[in-house]
Amino acid sequence: MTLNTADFRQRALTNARYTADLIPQNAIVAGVARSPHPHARIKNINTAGALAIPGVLAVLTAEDFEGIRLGHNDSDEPVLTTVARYVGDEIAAVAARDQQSLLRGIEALQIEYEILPHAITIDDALDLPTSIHDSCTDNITDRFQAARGDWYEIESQVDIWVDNTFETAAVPHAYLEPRAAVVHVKDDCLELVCGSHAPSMMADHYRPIVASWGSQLEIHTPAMGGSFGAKWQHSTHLICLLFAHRLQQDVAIVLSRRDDMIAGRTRAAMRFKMRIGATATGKLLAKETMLWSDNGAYSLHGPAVMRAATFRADSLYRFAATRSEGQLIYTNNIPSECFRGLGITQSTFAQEQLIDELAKRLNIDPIKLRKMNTVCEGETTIHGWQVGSCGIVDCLDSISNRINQYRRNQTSATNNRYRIGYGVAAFIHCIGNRGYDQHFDRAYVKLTAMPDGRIRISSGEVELGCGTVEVLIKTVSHELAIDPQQLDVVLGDTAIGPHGMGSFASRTSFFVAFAAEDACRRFNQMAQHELLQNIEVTGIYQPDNVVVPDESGYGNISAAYTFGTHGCCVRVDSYTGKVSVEQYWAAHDAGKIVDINAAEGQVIGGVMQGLGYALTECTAVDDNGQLLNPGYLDNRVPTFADAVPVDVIFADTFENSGPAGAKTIAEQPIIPVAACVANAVHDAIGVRLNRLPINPERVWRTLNHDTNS
Amino acid sequence: MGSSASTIRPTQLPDLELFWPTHIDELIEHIKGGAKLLAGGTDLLLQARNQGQPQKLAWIGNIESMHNFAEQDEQWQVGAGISLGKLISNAAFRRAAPAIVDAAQLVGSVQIRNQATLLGNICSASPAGDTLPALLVHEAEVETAKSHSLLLDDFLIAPGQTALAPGDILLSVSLRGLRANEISCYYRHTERKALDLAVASVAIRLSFEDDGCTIAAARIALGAVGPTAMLAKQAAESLVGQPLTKKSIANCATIAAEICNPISDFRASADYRRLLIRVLVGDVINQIEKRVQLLP
Repeated sequence: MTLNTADFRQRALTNARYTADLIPQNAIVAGVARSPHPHARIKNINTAGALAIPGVLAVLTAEDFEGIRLGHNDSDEPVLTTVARYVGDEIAAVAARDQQSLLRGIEALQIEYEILPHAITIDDALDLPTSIHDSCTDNITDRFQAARGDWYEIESQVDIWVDNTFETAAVPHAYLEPRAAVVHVKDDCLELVCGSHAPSMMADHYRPIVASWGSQLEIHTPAMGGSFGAKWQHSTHLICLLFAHRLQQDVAIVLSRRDDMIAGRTRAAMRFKMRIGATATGKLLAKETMLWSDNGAYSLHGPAVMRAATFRADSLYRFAATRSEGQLIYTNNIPSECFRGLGITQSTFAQEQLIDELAKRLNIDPIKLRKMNTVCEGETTIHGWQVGSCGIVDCLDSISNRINQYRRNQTSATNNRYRIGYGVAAFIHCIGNRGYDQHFDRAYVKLTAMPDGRIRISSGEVELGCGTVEVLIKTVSHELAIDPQQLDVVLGDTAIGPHGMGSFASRTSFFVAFAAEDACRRFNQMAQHELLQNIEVTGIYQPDNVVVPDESGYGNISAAYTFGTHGCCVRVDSYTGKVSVEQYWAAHDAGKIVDINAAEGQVIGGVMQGLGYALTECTAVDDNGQLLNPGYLDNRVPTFADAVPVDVIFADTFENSGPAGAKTIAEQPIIPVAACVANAVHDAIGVRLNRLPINPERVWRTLNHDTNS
Repeated sequence: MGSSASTIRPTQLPDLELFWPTHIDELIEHIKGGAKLLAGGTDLLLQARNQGQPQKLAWIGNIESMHNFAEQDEQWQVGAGISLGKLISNAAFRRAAPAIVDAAQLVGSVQIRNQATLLGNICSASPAGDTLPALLVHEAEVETAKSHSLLLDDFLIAPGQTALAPGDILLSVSLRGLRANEISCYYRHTERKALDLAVASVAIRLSFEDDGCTIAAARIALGAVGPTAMLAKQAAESLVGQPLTKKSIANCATIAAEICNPISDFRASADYRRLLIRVLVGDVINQIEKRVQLLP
């Protein structure tokens, strides 16, 4: 992808080209046969009928990908499977000359299944007589424990405990562009075009596989129509690559929305049993968390998400002791994956409701209670995070002021039917995570003087919509004192490089800005004694103050930390349970703001995504694992008509370790939304909604003390 | 940058045979030949894409008589080619059939409303079809090519199923506009403000006596709480002959909630749908009372 203006401008002007725009004429089409059963052994596949259909060119089954795995950590996901582990699991792939032959070919595959007992809920999985993966007999694929402080000593000082169980729902990433991949055959090289968070790391994974077929591999990342954590290694890539290799023709796959939702990825559904202890005066002392995370059928980033959800949110407050345990459980659901906020979006839903509950029980204003207990600049948190700039108090004060002002001017008062309520929630989040890859936590930016006199900026990071292109152009044009019109940006192209870790964990802008600065320094140095045309330099950034955390997750994993507080006013219809958000406030400490419009857009988008998560979205699955709402009609992502007024406020902070004092505004805006809404609903109707989504029927049932809510 | 092959994206339509008849007789010939009548296409083209059927379509856009949209003696005729957008933007129709306009304004999105037709909504016979309860309270009758007319209530048989005979087509719907001292209104419950399906819906038409408060006649229809949109006759009758009071409204709402026949599915439980009917009946009557005050 070559760009020379901000990414959002390319998209708005419809100049952006997505994977499906790059399908060559006469490309072969590929598609996948999916399991209709949540758990079944494939006894036999007869491909003869499919291959007899004119237009069907080839069929692939598990045998063709023997020994190849997709997952990042546990490597438990085959490309095509011999045991179906969720409805939609991929059994065989078909290549055909056109879409109609493809669909007929998929239908003509005769697949014999031996049905196995299945588990749709965490509890069913823990009781399941069979294991979902042979390697994991109890279906608990990962466990994590962290304990800090002298628990028994601190526990004895606690005057008041608040505790509850919280459940979050699995939701799809709901990006606009469904999964797609195109493979071009160029001599002995296969060129894969697809959206990806981490094309370099993906190439590292796929290259040995493609090399074993005698081919080389390059990956190009075109514009992505959203990902939010979903688009990593995926079976569609290797299926297209192998078909292209075997048929020596270009191959493309574009999933329908339905297939993309059935066999996509979801935010992990989680259950927290959590309690927080404090003194009678409101000093937070202890927090205990037990987490069960529904991994779905395969471990992608499931372990990382579970770990983050187990303990990371603790770092917002000065707890003296914490005890946390997490379990990651295989079920026969759609595989879970990281999703904006990692697991912190889920754990903040639990933690911030307990803080709210504690404030109510102690009769302390919830903002004041938070201000008394949040970490501050210069402190090291209970999990070893070294806090640099910290604008949390600013954020809390801004929200408090906004709410008070709004309340004074509020005209629609609570009545018997409509109840008004206010809620707040706060969060902490990191910028990158040194623990993600022990060997690698850098960013590279390469500057190449092109023959036509233009400068090419290239990086292995990609543009997720957070302004990476803009950051690169601004930094380089400033440092080299060059007209931005003379710059081209190429992201996520392994043929051009350099290697990059990938865009995730809110790290990209922060990392590439420094790497670009370093590249510019080298460029300027070289320009003193070298012809401009000969200059190609690579800048590097690696934060110097971070460490790989120990086994319990202790250590400074991020160069800086971001904070924020959200507030909202809701109106609850106590007759129907419907929650309407009347006004929303989002205060963020993102360091020095470089582009106010882009930053505000990022916050508003995140808040809307969070409101969908809070109020309307879920993957509805029946007892047999069938997804009942594989589309946006019944999986209610908010529309423009549902947009609410969002007042965005940025704390006035300057991060000494950040580029130009900036931190980041990427995942953060979604994190506190569900908790903020739940707290406002509690304020309005006096009952706590501890399950997501907070949809009208659930509110109505909770109000009527119905235990089936 | 290559251009994409014609059939590679699942979102693309398969090859379809399209006819453009200019007369009804010609249209009927195509229908006999296996073509499906194409009006707005907002449901039909999705079927063609997702199920590969139908493959032949006969578009009615060029048939003038299908675009009939006129009033005579308070009876409105709406032809098969009339989009929801056209209904909404017609000021006289907005006064004559507010409940239908309330409903039409809630269907899909602006783009869908400008394309989708009222008769298409009828033919789809969705239990949750927004315009159907509203049409029922406006005493809608459909006219088919075989020239008999049928009450809408008799035309709707089951989800997706109507009394339309094979080979026959719907030409128009006629409905009764409001008279003096009458008002109608339609409300639905959804979780989202646009692009959503009714979880439950209620349309009501009330006729007031000259005193402006006693109910002379009432029609109530319910949506998404049975296999088809349905008239709630007992609930309507309970209002007649007395002025609206909190008690009479509550009584009417309770009857409506009792006589409906909702199912439980992942969208909502039957219990909850009954509750919604009770709340919506009250809300619609309250809205009607507000609209009455605005009458000349």
